[in-house]
Amino acid sequence: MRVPADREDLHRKARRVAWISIVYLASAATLLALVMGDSQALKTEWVDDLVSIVPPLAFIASSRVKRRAPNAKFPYGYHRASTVAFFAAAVCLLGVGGYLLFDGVSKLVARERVTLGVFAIDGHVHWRGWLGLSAIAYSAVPAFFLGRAKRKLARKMSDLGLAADADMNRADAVSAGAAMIGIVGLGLGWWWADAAAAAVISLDLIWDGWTNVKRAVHQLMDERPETVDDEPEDLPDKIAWGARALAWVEHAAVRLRSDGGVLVGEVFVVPRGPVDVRLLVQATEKLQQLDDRLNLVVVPVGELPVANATA
Amino acid sequence: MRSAAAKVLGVMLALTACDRFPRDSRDTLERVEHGELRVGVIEHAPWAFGDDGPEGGPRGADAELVRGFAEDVHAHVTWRRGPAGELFISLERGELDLVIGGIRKDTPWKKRVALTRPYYADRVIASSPGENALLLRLERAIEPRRKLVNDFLTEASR
Repeated sequence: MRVPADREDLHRKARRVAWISIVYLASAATLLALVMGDSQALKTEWVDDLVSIVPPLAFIASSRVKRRAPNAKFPYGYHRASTVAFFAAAVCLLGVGGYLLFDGVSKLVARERVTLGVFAIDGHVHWRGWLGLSAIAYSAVPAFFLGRAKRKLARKMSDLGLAADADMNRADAVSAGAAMIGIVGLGLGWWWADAAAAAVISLDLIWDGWTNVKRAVHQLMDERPETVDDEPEDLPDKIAWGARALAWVEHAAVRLRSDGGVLVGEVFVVPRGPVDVRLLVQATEKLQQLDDRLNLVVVPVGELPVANATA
Repeated sequence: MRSAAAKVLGVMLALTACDRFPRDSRDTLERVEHGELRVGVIEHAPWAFGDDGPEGGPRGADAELVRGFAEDVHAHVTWRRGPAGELFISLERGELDLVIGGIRKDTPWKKRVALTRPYYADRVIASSPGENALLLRLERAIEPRRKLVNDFLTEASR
């Protein structure tokens, strides 16, 4: 399969950002685990950070697998690996979010009152909530900037998995705000603030999980290629116009799908007369020049076979 | 996003400035100061035992710590003796402010009430859940008295 050449350095950059994310999220999760005490909001934030490690891990794992050459067992190559990783990460997110929502709401219903305890420095005793707030700040601020960097890379690479990861990092920053409000509310004597904040954070996880499961399933169902902003790509139209512009072509229709950053599909052409093989080869080369992600097959047919292809 | 973060930061700075933070969910500390401190006593030597301590209270390490705390917040203590389960349930409901009697930090009640840090080995004092100000004030009372408790217990074991 044809892999876009100039993306090599983008890939390297994306892998580096993924590694930074993993190390940083692991440190944030460790810090939160140390200070969370009985706070449900901090516990939820901790799990949030833990599951946020999955998408960059999946990205790194799949970025190695997806570049393997096609073989007899996998004749279409391994590009779908990234979609599979993306799907797994999304399902994981949805499940964890559901569990945390249940956990938070049951604490609200049970009217559990949380006490955070204290820590001492040099014989001076302070409220533990301050540690919690610092840990949340540590977990939120860099996540916001990592999210922005990933979003930019995802748009350049048209990588939906990376885009989803970026969204999650940015959502982490928002949910951290909720966790902070929960801890401050707890400090103001509102017994429900902690669990309520936890429930809000888990709703955010569920929302992330749900939208990404949907996206992943759509890709596995061979949805038309879409940009990271969920807009349809205009490539099928361009290819069809390009094919129809050829002198020997009467009608043309295009069917495209996205295989983890590589666009695969067929160009059906109804020729005006008998077709020379060299014309087919030329047409394929010309049409593939429209985008370096394209892997096209030009098929001469008697009549256009698919009603729903771009004709 | 940025303005929300600024607001949170502003609120936090405002809170550090005022001395009534954290607060209690039932305003227990405010009620206890210059008022009544209700303490449940599980009979358990040498932590809390007998009734021949000062003013008819129990003797023991926990009892001494409670008296120290009461002194700090100008409260007078009313002691209530009873079986552990009964006292813990009262504590959870906010009908008692503290429970003492050699409670261990891994007590099965730890999810339902608040506990101090261990002040001697794994011994803690149980405090009303959700009362962050009370617990903080109690811990501040215990901190400088750790040595006292240690001496008391070494003497008692002799």
